[in-house]
Amino acid sequence: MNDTKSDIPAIELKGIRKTFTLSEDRNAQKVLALDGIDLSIRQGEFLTIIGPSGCGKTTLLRVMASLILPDEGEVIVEGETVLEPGIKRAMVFQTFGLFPWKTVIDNVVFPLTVQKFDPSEAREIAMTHIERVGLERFVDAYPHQLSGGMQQRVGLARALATGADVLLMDEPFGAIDAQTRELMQEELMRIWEEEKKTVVFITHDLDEAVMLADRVLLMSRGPGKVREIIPVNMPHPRTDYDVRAREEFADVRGHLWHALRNDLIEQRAEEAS
Amino acid sequence: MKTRTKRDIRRDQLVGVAIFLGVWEVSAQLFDKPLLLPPVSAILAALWDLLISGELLTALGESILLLIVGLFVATVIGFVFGTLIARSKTAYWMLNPYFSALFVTPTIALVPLVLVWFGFGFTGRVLVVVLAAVVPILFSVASGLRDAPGDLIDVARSFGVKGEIPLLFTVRLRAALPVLMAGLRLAAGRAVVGMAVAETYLRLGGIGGLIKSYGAVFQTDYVFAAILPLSLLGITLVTIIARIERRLHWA
Repeated sequence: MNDTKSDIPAIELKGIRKTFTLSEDRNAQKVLALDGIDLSIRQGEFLTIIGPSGCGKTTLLRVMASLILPDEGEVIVEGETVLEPGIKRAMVFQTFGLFPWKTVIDNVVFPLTVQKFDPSEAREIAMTHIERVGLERFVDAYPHQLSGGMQQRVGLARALATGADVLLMDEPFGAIDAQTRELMQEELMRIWEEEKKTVVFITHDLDEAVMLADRVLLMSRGPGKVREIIPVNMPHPRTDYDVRAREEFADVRGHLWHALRNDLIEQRAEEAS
Repeated sequence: MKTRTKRDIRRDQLVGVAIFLGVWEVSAQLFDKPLLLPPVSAILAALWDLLISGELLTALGESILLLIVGLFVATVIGFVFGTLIARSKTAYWMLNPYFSALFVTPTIALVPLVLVWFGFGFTGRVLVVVLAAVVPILFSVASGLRDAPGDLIDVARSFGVKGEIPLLFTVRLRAALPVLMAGLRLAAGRAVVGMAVAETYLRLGGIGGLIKSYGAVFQTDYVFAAILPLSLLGITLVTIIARIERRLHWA
C-alpha cells in the first residue's frame, strides 16, 4: 500500500499556462507568466527552482499552492486535481507572512485554528514545532521583537505544524542576512532529512539551489518555461560534510551559472535595443 | 537638562493651573463684572450648587446616553459603508462624494433638516450625533481596509481561510484596527460637539441644555460650571479610546 502511494507524485503540473493583465485598463498589456509547464515532483523530493528575475517562479509556486488558478492546465496533489489551497500543502513566505498582532505561538497555532483543531491540542502541536526551530523562549514574543531569521523560523514552524506533506517555500531565506541564511539552510536540511517531506523551494541563490536540492529546476526568462531539470547526486545527510567542496556541487553550479548567464546577457541585449 | 518624569510633568501642570486660576480669580475680583468674567470662586460655588441639586448629574446622564448611542450607531454605519467603499470601486465612486460633503458640512447646518424629518425627540438627537461622528469612522475603516497587506491575505488563504467575509474578519479588519481606533478617537471628539449641538439647538437637554438655559438668563458662572463637565466628558472619552488604541498596537 505504502509503495503504491509513494509512486503517486506529490505534485503534478499539466500544461500550466497563466497570463496576467498589467492594470485594470481594458486594453492593457497582457503578460505571459507561465507558458505550458509540465512537471512531476516525487514524494519526499527536495526540488529547488531557480531562474532570472521575472521568469515566473513565484507565480509557479503560487499556482502550486492554488493561491492563483492557472488559465489552462491542472494542478494535481497526490493524485487529486486541486482548485483551492488545501491542508496537504503549506507555504513559507519570503516576507515571513507572520501576523504582527499575534504572538509566536498564536501565529503557529493559526492554521490549526482554521482547521478547527481543539485549542489545547493545537497549542501542544505548535509548541512541539516551536521547540524544533529553537524558539521556545520566544513563544509569547511578537514578530517585530524577533530578528528576520527568527521570524522565518516561526514561519517554518507554522508550516510544519500544519502536518502538510508538501512545503512550498518562496525564497524563504532571501530576506535574511548571509550568515543566518547558512544556518537556516542547515536547519532546513536537518528537518527535511528527518521528515522526508516534499519541498519545493524557490531561490535566486545558485549555491542555495544546488546545496539543498535533489533536483534543480531552471526556468527560462520571459514567458516562464522549464529550461531544464538537473539532478544533484550528493549523498545525505548533507549536514555532515562541506557540500561546497564537492565536485558535483561545482559541476551543477557551473552548468546552471552558464545557462543563467546566457539568459541574462540576452535580456540585457534586448533591453538595450 | 534632566529628563522629566511623569511626576515632574504632573507638578508643572498643577503649578500652571494654580497660576492660571489665581490670575483669573484676582483679575475677576478687580474687574468686578461677573456677567463677563465670573470669579473662579463663583464658578466653583455654581458647580457645587448644580451638583447638590442633582441637576448636573441628571444632565450628564442624559448626555452620556446620547453620546454612547450616537457613537454606537455611527460606528455600525461607518463599518458597513466604510467596508463597502473600500471593497467596491463602484460603491466608492458613487458614495464617496456624499461622505466627503458630510465631513465638511457643519453639523449645525443640518439641524433644521433633522428637526423637520425626525422631530426633536431622542431619534433626532441621536441622528445629529451620528451625522457629526460617522464620517471619520467610515473613512478610517475604508482607508484601513484598502491598505490591508496583500501578503497576509495570501497567508490566511494558503492556510485555509476561505471567502471574503472570513478574510475580512481574520485579516483585513484586524490589520486595520489601529487606523480604525484613530478614526474612532477623532469621531468621539466630533460626537461631543454633535451632542452639544443637538442639546442646544434641537431641544434643550443634557449638559448642552444646561449651558444654553443659564446663558439665556445671563448666569455666566453657571455657564462656566456646566462647560467644565462637558470638556471633562470629551477628554475622558478620548482618553479611554486612546488607551484601547495603544493596547491594540503591536509595534
